[in-house]
Amino acid sequence: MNYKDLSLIGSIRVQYSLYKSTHPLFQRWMRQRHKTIQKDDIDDLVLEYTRDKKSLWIDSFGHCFSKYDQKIISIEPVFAQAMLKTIPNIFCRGDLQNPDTHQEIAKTFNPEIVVYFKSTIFKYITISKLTENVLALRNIYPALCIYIDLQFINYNKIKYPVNNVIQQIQENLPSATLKRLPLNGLLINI
Amino acid sequence: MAFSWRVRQKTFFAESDIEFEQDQRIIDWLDSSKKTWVYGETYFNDKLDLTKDAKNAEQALVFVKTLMNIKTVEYLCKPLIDIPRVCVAINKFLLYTTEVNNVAEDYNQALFDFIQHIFKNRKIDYYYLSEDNGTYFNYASPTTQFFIT
Repeated sequence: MNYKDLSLIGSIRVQYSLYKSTHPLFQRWMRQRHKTIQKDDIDDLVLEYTRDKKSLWIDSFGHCFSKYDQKIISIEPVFAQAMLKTIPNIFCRGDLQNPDTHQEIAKTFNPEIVVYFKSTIFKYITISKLTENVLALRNIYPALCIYIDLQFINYNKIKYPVNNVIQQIQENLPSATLKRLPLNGLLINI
Repeated sequence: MAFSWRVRQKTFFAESDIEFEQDQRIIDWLDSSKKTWVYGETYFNDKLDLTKDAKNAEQALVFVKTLMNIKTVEYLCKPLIDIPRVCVAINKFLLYTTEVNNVAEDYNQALFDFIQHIFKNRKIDYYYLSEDNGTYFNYASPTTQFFIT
């Protein structure tokens, strides 16, 4: 049974649950929003790459770090629009997998760097699809910083250890800088 | 009250009393009258006659829904080889290995071969999704399932 076979209830409560479960920065922001958002080493690493640049965080709830970088603009999926509409510098778009959407986003916001922070766009895909997506986005945006969780990448997990997979990604993206992070994390800068 | 992700996902839908297909398959296959040894899941407990003693179990259910080395799965399954009915349900995104293994390139085939290697000369019914794009609740309930008799 695919969830698309059922009648998803269109309530804010459901949107909130779905968005929160798939966007770790939103989860953290909700938990800490009355305090200063605590950063970890990975956050610092990503924010270092975007420092002094106009950064666009796609499907990642970059607003979480707006206290550290006020220039952050977030682009979020349209299903979360009703829930996020009162938060500043968040803009929603329909099909975030469509190159035309990205052409429009690039033209409208003119970012210097685009960040994907554990985005759903980089989940449940093969290594070749990951490569294809990164290259397609790199053709549109001047720089990309993509933090993925290799746990969600679809490869033969009983044949290849994570190091081999990272090596394969590096071979597919020779101009990218890859950094292995704890807990199956991988940072791709290109 | 904290709900499991499976229970919460069910509340997202207008339909009442839904059961995920992969859970329903397990419910239908397991015999509620047989002594059952279960690892990794409590969801089916009220539908089963549970035993903590794997040696005397008539059937077994192994659920892999946390990050797990493939060697640990083998370690979990090997003591179950003499149990007449065994169901192994695996979230295939959560397996890992620390070394390159000489197995089939196709992940689904490699998983089948792996289970067949443990449960030699047994009949195995195998269910999986060749294209798993995250829309099948597989983090709540594994979609790769082996029914061994």
